[in-house]
Amino acid sequence: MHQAALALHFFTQTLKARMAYRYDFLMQCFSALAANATGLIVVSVIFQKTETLGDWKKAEVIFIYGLAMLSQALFGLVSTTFWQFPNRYVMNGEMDRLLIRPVNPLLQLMMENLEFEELPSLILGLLLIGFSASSLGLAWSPAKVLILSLDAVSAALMLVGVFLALTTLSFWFEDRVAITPPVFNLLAFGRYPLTIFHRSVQMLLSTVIPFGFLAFYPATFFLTSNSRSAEFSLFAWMTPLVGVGSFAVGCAVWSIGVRAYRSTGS
Amino acid sequence: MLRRRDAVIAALGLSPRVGLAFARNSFLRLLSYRVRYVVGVANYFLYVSVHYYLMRAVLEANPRAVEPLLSPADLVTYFSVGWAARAAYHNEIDGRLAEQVASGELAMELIRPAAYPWIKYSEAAGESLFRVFFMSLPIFAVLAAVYHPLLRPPAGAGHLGLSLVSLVLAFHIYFAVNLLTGLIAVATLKIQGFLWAKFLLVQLLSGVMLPFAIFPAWAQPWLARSPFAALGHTPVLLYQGKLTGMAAFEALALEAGWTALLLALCAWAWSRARRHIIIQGG
Repeated sequence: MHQAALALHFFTQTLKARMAYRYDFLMQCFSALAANATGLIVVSVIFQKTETLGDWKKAEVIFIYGLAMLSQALFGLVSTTFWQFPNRYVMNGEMDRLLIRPVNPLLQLMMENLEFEELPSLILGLLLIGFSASSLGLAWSPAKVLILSLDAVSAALMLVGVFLALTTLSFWFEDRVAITPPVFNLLAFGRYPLTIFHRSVQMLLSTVIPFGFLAFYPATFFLTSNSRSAEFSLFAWMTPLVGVGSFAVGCAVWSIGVRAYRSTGS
Repeated sequence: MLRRRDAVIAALGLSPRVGLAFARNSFLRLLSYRVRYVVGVANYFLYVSVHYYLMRAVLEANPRAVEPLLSPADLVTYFSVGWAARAAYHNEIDGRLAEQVASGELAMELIRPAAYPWIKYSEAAGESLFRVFFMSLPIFAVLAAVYHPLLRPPAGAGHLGLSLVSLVLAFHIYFAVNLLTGLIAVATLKIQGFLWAKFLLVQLLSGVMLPFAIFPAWAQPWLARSPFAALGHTPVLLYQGKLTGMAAFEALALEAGWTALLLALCAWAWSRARRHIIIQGG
């Protein structure tokens, strides 16, 4: 409870600090949105020349894309943590500061690196989901809204777990480059129907790096308009489990890493 | 006579020997970050794979959607050559210039014994030479191994030759576009968001994400005439032998025209910008 109250306090402080530089904030919102907009252009250009993308109609693909955008925007709130961690906290020794305070270091780390620049992407993601659902004639119910929110949060937790585990490796490996960028690029596969990719990609994204749960698997629960959705209903229901499980693995790796941490003394 | 030529070169700050030294330096600097390039190879492999599978799904629904690319082999070859080429000519001059303006480090560059654009050009050339060997070729080898029978060799020696000419011009166009966008930082001081938008736009308009043929019919002739066509569309289609005869020479002439225009624009923009440079502390 004490930790939660502190977290809230951290949250409001970081929000205030970010808002102080309004121009920077707007610029970052614009950059985050630009990448998503480019992806959306790709999708809409593609569907001018085809009716379906591997059995999936335009509205269905956009639903998946919108859910991916929503999940990733939620993850974006804490994601800068992972890009900054190796350099700022391990190499420059800022980790020491976190360890001497009587608050969970992971909580501090995430709360002091909050970024709100993905907020417009979150809204765009919701709009895309809304529009595609209405063009598919999908009937919303309170239960469905709840499941969608749960799925988006689970997917974000899944991403936190994956990238937390990867970032923690920097406690052991002095080389800062690590394998985070290629894994981040794997996310691109998670924004489209998984069935269009090679079997090996589908396997990888359903197991070791579960980006299939970013949007595609949870989306199949809602895309009952497509006969193929039924194949994945088990996966769709597993989304919260994958989110919590992946987050737990990430935290476990993190706590091992913290114990292995040796300050650089700077 | 010879001495006068040297004097002119020195006055312009375009000494080939100085340029070569900067190119060599940039090559050696990159060599010390080898791991970054192994990671880069993995990244480019993923870019090619995502775009290939997307287009293949389109092709299955509509076999003529991206004419003249008609088969999975055409698509694999298109994206592999396109991204390997991008890996070769890519540089981050724009971002680095913006950083140097923001930190005031630009002052150090200005007192070097050569004109600033010439230093940047030499560094970019050194970087690209490095990238050909440590990124493009490994990327190509990995792609060839993974997509074994699908990645095709060039349509012929002549086609490969024209494609390489086009790529050399592409290097110049990319360099000029980056230098020009970087110079905007001199006027505005903060351009990170703008650089990112430019990065995405260049990717989209060069054809490495989507072949031009999938764009709406009205947009295609404009895409082919833009300078960005040189960064993907033109060299790749030349390699594949899908751009031949008169059309090939027209495309190359257009590319050469853009190159000359953009480089001239760089020289002009630099001569104006250097008078507006504000060295911020440092």
